[in-house]
Amino acid sequence: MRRLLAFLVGIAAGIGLAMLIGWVIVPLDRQEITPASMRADYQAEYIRLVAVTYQAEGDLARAESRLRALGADPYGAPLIALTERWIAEDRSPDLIAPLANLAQALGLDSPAIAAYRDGGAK
Amino acid sequence: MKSWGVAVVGLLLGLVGGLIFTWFVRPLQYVDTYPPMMSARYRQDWIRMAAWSYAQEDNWDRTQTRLLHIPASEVAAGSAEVLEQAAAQGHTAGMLQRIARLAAAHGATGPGIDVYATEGAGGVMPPAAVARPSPTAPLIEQTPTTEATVTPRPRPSPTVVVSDTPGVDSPFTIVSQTLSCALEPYLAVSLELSRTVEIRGREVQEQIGLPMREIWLIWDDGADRAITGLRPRKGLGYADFTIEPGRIYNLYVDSPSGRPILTLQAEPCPPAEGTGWVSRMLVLYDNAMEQAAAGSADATGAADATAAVEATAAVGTTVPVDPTIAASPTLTPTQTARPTAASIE
Repeated sequence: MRRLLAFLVGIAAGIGLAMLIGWVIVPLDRQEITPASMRADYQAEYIRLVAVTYQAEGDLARAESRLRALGADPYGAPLIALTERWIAEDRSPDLIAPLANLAQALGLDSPAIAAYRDGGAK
Repeated sequence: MKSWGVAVVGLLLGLVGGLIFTWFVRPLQYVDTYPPMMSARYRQDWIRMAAWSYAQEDNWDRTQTRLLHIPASEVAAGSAEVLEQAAAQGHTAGMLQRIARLAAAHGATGPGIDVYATEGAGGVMPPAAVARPSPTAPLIEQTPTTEATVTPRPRPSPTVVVSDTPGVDSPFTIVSQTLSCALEPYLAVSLELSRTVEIRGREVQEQIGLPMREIWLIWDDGADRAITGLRPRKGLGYADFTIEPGRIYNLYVDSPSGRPILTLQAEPCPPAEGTGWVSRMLVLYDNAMEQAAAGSADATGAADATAAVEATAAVGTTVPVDPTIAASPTLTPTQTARPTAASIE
């Protein structure tokens, strides 16, 4: 009985030590940390940067690749969601226009975005 | 086996099993990260996008927030790359300046950054370069991809059609044209200021390249623009374009309006000179700045002029003018349509 208790205590201590080593001290960095892992507000900023950069670079394939890095399915969902949210919140046209333009260029229009674009900035 | 021995065996088994679980079965998952934590390639992309955004929106505080905790060396490298790309794409001087300032603020150095990050670089920054209106659509700057294959030489009967030499009231003077044969025809321009300075009692003529000036090439249904100074090794006033055979081009400086400085068309090289297209290197003098510089030199005296010469020599801005070429090309008047703003792409 005493040896069994010592064995269980040993295993528990070993597992605890392994968790400390494997998750804190020496985590095995096998995965890439992508924009998909960023906090929501940083992801919104990322999407806006993608749209603004597309305005300057004019590289649609690159913009699409950047959006895909967010790991959403379909890949354009975060762009559409953010654009629609900012339209609903009546954000500045300076913020919304690049997003709407990128969505249109990628063929990701939604009724709300199309209506905003057709109606212009409020 | 004693109790402590059993405990050690348990510890080892727990450690091995736990490491297999934490490293392979359930590795660490990153959630709610922020840009500095991202893998290098995504972090670099974030920096590039932040630089592009700053170039367009000119919001320094927001840009610094975006780049917070990212190593300055990475920001410098990323911004420098964006500067090169922006310059190659022919973005406005204002955008280039902002990107260069961002790069310089994070420790980046280099000839392009030196040119754009500091207003008045080399002491010859034209005032118009700071607040000149720019076209709304970015224009692609084309640069020659093939160097001249034949040593530049004067041609007694050039096959390039040239017309509309600047009038007597033109602010620019073509002081030399060097023609050469190249597989891909190009037009290179060196915009310079020529002035006389006095050094130890002797008058010396010096040429200074003028960076940050817009050179325009307009044709029937399009336009191209380059900004001088992107290749400081070729001179601060240097800019170049590829040109297409059969097209008639009008050359302008600063803005694509008024009387063109030159009208030209690339034609094949004579068979005796090899295959390829006639390309040319122009040296232009900015008369208006020359007059201003002359007035300034008169006012400041020899001591200041000496200092200016030394400063210019230090950054290597002077571009030699080939006196043997200046009078070589035959200029043939040609009637061409005047470009309009609507013709600009």
